[in-house]
Amino acid sequence: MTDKNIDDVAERLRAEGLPVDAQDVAEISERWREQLEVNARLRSMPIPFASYGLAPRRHG
Amino acid sequence: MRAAPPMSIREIGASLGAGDMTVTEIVEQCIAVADAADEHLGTYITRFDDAARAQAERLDLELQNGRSRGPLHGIPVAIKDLLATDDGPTTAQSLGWSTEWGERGDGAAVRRLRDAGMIVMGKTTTMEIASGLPTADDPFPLPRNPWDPRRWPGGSSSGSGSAVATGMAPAALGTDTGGSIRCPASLSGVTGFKPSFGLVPKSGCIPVGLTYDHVGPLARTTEDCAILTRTMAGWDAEDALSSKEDHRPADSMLNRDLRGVRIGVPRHLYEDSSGVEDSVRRAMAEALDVLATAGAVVVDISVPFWREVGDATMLGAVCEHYANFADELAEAWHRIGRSARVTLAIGALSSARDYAQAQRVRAYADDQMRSVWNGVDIIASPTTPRSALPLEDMSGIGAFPGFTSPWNGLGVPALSVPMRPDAEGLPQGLQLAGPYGHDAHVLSAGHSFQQSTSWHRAAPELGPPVQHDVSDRQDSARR
Repeated sequence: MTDKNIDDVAERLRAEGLPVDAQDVAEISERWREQLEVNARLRSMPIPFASYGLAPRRHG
Repeated sequence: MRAAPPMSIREIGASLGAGDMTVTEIVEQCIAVADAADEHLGTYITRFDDAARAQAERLDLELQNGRSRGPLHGIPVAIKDLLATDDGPTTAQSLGWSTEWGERGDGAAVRRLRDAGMIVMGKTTTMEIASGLPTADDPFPLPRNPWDPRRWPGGSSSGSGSAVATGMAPAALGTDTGGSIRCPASLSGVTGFKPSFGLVPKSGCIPVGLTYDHVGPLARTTEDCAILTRTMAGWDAEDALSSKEDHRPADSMLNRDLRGVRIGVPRHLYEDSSGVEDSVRRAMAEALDVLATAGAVVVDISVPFWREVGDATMLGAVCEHYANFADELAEAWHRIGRSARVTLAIGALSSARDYAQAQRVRAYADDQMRSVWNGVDIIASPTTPRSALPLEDMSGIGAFPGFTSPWNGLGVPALSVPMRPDAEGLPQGLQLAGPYGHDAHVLSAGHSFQQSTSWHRAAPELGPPVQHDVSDRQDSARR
């Protein structure tokens, strides 16, 4: 992650009201970098929205 | 000291019925084990010894007067400290969690067990708010594995697993959002069951991922898990997600013959994976032979979108966890351990698009699984990719939900039973899952497995306290 990306993470967390410190930001940024890869994989799945717009019905 | 003889609920009930033991004697035996081992295994956060003794006297009196409440009459139970009870506080093992939660008292599951005659022995350790890594840096007990106290007992229902393994209680309640009942069952050598989503109500349970959370039992045997599940199951007006379908496992269904039951094995998930220990593969091969010898038809299958639905489950759950907890998290940030707040922050950073896609993946995978369930009755896999991690190096923890979390996203019943331990004698678990609502079939397969094996009967040797500092392993300092 670039310094700007890390700054963005810190800014977004503080906007949520979370009083993060420097070590929080470093660890969260590292975890978020890994999560972004997961999220990208999930986004790439070609699932028709109309058919699968919600969780299984039994899950509310 | 060896742990108390691993009596099952059924066996204790038979002793009570025959007059060989009293409820008071059973409770005193559990308290004696806790006195000997709780402090160095970090099993309980809070113990209710006096209240348990008083309740035991009342239940003995009922038996003397010819009244038995049924198979759970006089049976001690330990409750994960994520579930509110009448007896005391609910901490979620966190300084950041409001103590007001515990003031609501028993939720439906605990109340139903208590009404059936169970005695609440105490509240067991967990991971902080079911998310943080174990640490010695807070005022809560550090959960240790009863088979090797230098190791992790699994989580997040950590103390519930070790309570059953040691005999501090023959039964325990846990919660499971990505594997938190089955993982400690696997690593601590006991049986753990995550019922179908909504079968056991969650009222009184601190929410983690509301649409992924399950309440379920840990016990010595599958038969015990069936008794506990049957007692806790049923719709509850206080849990909007509890099911109105009554598919609780009937006693008569437990002894269903395994002959002809088709067990699917997704070998592609564990035979070629570098993250799975050889000892797990060998134990799986032996466990499948046991099932086949009992008459099951074991077939290779491929499970579609396994990794994706697991990833989607963990993402969706952390989004829901953050959403449930955002206000408290902001207010209590510095009272919460760093590993828990780092995990929860992922929910704060994730977008609505990511959450919605996680739900779509989940629904799509659920749909795709229909064709798999059309071909098999049960899917067998390892519960965990290896035996217990050393507390000094928890870096491999991220792989632990790999076999368990997809079943949370899909909401299907999943059971972990002990299979052959590794070369060091550390427990390993076999996971059996079935289609939604087929809880009885899953339990009957586990029961059949345990009729042919004895690994669920093993009890750990309880050694002296371990002088062992894991506080340097991670910085989870509070400010």
